[in-house]
Amino acid sequence: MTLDSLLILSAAVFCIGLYGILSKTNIVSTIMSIELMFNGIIIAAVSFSRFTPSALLMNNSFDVSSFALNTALSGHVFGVFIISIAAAESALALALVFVMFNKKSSVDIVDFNELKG
Amino acid sequence: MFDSDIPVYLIILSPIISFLVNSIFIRIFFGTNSKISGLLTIFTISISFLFSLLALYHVNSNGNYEYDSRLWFSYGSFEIGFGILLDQLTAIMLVVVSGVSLLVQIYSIGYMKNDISYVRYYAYMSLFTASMLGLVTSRNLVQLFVFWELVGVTSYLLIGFWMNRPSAAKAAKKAFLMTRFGDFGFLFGIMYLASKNPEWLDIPTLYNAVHLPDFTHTVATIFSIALLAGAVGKSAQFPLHSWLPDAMEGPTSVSALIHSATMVTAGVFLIARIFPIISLSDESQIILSFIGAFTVIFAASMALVSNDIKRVLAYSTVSQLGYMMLALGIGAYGPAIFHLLTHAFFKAALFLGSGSLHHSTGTFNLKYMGGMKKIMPVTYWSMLIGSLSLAGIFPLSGFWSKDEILSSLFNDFSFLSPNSILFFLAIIGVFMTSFYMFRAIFLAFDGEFRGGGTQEKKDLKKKGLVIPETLEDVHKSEAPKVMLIPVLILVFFAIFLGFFVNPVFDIPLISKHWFSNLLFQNVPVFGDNVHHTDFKFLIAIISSIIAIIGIMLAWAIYIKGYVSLPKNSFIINKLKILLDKKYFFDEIYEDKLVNSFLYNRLFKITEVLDLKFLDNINIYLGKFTLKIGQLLSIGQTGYLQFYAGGMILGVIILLCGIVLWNF
Amino acid sequence: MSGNFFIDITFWVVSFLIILGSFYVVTARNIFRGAIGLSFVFICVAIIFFLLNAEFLGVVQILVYVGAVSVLIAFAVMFIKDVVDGSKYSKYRLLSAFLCSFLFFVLIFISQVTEWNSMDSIENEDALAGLEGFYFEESESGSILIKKAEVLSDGVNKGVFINSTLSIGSSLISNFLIPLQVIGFILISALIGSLTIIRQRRKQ
Repeated sequence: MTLDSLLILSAAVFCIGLYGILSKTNIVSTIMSIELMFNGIIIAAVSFSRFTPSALLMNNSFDVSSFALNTALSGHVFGVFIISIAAAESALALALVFVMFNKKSSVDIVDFNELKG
Repeated sequence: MFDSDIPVYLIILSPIISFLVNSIFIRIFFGTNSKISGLLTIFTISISFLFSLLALYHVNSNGNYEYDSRLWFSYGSFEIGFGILLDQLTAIMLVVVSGVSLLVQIYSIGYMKNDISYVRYYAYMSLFTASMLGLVTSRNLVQLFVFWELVGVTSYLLIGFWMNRPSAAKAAKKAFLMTRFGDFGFLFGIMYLASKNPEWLDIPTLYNAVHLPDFTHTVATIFSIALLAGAVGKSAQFPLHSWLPDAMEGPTSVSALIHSATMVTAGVFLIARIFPIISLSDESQIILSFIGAFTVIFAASMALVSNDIKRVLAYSTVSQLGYMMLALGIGAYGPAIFHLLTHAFFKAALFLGSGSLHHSTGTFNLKYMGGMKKIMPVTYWSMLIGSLSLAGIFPLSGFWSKDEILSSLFNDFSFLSPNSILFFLAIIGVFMTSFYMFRAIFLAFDGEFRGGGTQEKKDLKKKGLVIPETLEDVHKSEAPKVMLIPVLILVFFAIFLGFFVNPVFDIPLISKHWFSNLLFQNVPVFGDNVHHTDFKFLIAIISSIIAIIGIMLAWAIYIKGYVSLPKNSFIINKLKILLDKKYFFDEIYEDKLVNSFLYNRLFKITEVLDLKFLDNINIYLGKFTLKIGQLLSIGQTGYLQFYAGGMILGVIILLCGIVLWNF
Repeated sequence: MSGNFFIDITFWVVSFLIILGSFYVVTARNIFRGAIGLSFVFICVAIIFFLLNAEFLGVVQILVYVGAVSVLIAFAVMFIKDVVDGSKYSKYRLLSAFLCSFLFFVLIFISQVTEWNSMDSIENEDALAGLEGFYFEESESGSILIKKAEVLSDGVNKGVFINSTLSIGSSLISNFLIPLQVIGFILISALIGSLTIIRQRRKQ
């Protein structure tokens, strides 16, 4: 378990999610793929936090200030933020799916092409 | 006291304060008909008047003041100053403007009593007076031009004061546009001078520059003719005269102020200001004097037949301004300014008297007046004296000033020289002046009363014509005291001013030619090259006799009826129509010049250019963008994935760019 | 490095499961099964978090993703008429596969080429020794002491071993206070927004 392998995992999950978004027409599948991409990002953030400590910690290891410690786990904090955003996004997306279904009785993106030039 | 320029600024600023207080404070908090505004305006203008008198006193004893010019704005090395020039001419103009304005404001308390926009009237009047005072004190030509335009704007506002009357609105527009036409010349002159040397825009510097070799004859000629155009427009000289009779649509008190002491004299003032430059150029002097002389008889001839007493006075103003221009054209600086002074007072008296007449009869039409001598004796006598003064009867002020102009014309008299032609034109003008003035007086005050405004309304209704809103019902009473006293003061000056200001021989306290001497003290303008116009007994006799002949003729025709014009004579009828239609100048300007030539010919070309060329550019530009839009809209497939893919492609390209850049 | 062996094995297996599960999510025709697969991926990612000493985040992952988001998606599946065969491919399938694999290789290239400031690259022995484990201890006066871990459990990996829950908590209320407030605003506006959207449609 090294940083490299974790980054590869993160990139793989991200790209698979992206592929899901681009290749599926069902809006629920798309939302699911977005969640996958979010997960890939969180993995990257946490592994950076785990393996690349801040310079503040590295230079003065026995006398760390509370500021240095507060920044030590920034990746984790960002993970928390990303999860919150993802939860909000999926709630909103679900509401949109509801509206779309009410409007056209379909959740297929192909049916929503009003922007066609 | 006048060591610094603060008192002079006070003269200009106190009416401006009155304008601001009237328009912002009183109008909002006390209503549009508040009597406070009149009192405030009178107070501030009397402050201006007092300081003007002090200025005249100091200038008389200490010579002219040149205050330092303050920097107004600059562009690179091009600098425009802002300052005060207080010389003899300015001091006299200050007294005339603020004095006449003060009396007119007092008169207006009575005359405008019932007007709903009382406060607005006084606000405009204050601003007008302030801009005129600013004009005469300007040190810089650009500054002078600013005030000159301000006078134009405020006269526009005042002539169109009753803006709900279409004729007034039209007259205001006409006055503004025609004077603007002349102002173009003024502006051109300023720019021409600035292109030669920007420092010359400063008037004292310009006076000194006259003797320099840089200041060639060509420069002087072009500059003075350009400024002449501005003066001709403002002073309503031929051919830009036709706005002034129409400007009578404003309140009579406005006419009294604008057409006696202030706006129209601005043109004369301008010519007097650049007198040293004009006297360098013979061509512009000849043009100036012939314009003046022609305007004298041209305007007077139209006054002969006009039935509107205010129009008679308006034509008379144009004609008298012609005398002043004529005098300036032949180099008679002193007589011209002297005539300006006396004319301001007696013409203001006449205008205010005609306002009282309207107040009483309800009309300006001479045909419906008559017999007012018994009803309003004070007005009768004051207008009679004013008319005598205007006609130039001994010993009233008009006699002395007009006589000086005629005498200076007579100076180097030889048969068929330009001066002799000018002299004969001026003499004919004297005859016409006395005739038309007394025709108006006799028609208005003698004979039987012919019904006034009430009768005129009935007649117009019978003929099915439009009834002008100036018509009111008959009062048949003498004017109130507040209107009489200013007229009487003006009449007092109209009697005594002429002799006592510029006596022909030494009298106690006042030296011979005091007024001319005062003017000629202005060293930068005249240097030592001064010649006085002496009283000539012969000229006085000739002009008096001719004026009396004019009066007698009017008396014979309009009172006794000894002489009557042949009714059916073809020539006389045609002549009457010609004069009545003002030589068809309005028709020529409006129909031929504006409509036929400018509108139908010249602007047709631009219209075609606009429609065929410019419009098509717009159309094709629009079509072009439409096509491009259609082309680009192919990219909009409406599939969400397509857009997301495009976005990802962009991200990939960016990433690859970063990678290639770094490694 | 024998002590790392178990962790490594777990990591590789879980990673494999994650990738497999992800592929299943994006390829499954049956959308409900796809949703189940997504939950599975979420759990696996939580395991990765535990392996990375991010136990707080792992718990949050299970709570929020597996507990809430998966349920939401299961609700969304209700709108699909044809659940069994509902998830169709768009016409850009091959193109997007190409794009995504290309992006994947670009990302791997970047991650390999970049010299990350990682534990492995630290050459200063003292610093490295200091980084081999921290833990927090509450002192008697109430302040937080940071102590170096004296006993490392069987030669665990080098890295920052901080009590993550405590550290995240103190970070959230100190350095990340404003982002925390913003997140709160975003959540409340998402809540109100989704309610409003649905209410308006009901009126019709």
